[in-house]
Amino acid sequence: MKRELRSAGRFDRKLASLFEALEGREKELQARLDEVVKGLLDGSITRAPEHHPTDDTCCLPLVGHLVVVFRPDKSVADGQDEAGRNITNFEGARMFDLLNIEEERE
Amino acid sequence: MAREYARLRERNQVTLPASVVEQMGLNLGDIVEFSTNGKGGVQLHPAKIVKVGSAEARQEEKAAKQDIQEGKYTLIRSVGDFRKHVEKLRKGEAPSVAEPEAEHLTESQRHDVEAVVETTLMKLLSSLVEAPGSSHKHRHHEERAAQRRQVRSQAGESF
Repeated sequence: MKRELRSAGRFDRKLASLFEALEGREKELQARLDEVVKGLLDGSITRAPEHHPTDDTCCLPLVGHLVVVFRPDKSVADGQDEAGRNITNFEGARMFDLLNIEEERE
Repeated sequence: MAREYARLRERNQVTLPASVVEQMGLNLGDIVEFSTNGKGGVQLHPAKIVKVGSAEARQEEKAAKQDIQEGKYTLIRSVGDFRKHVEKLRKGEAPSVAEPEAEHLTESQRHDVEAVVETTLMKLLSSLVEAPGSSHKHRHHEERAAQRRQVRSQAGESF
């Protein structure tokens, strides 16, 4: 199944500033981003914690406490993980919108 | 609108006025974003990483969705595409632009469109190739038939 990503303009700006902020850890950040992008495109990542229930967004860990927030075009609820977080299954999605990078730490 | 001034120093350094730093809520180590407005002016924004679940985070997500609705996004089809995209972003070279609608089609949809276009073109071409001869023949037959009808009717009248 062919899958594609749309990187929002604001996500791009956030990403550029993150590379500035994480000076010295650029390779680590790039490697993790590559993993996420590859996983979403080739379908090897099909489940992720729900980010916001009303707008079908999910999130995946990036580096440190940072998470990448994205929205698949098709998703279903798929139980909970060990930490009790709701899990979303987006196996049938063909398009993913990259929306934001946020900090998960309380 | 309050105005403050600062002098450009060596290596393009400028000290932000304290009131600006305070108003923007900046702290040591924070990243700021400069964006040109195309008219010789520059806007300065704090480039903060917001907390999950905060009002700011919701606002940013909403704005990003709006970007996508308005076509302000970059389409990524492979990790290679993404790496090039990031490289450009880091050089400040990649403003996100809307791609033409055709670029949004999936591969199978593109194949379908190509098949329809090909079939339509083939039909059009074959009708163009056949049309001059066939219409000429058709006209010729009609003229001959009309002539025959005329001759018969004249002959009928004379009998």
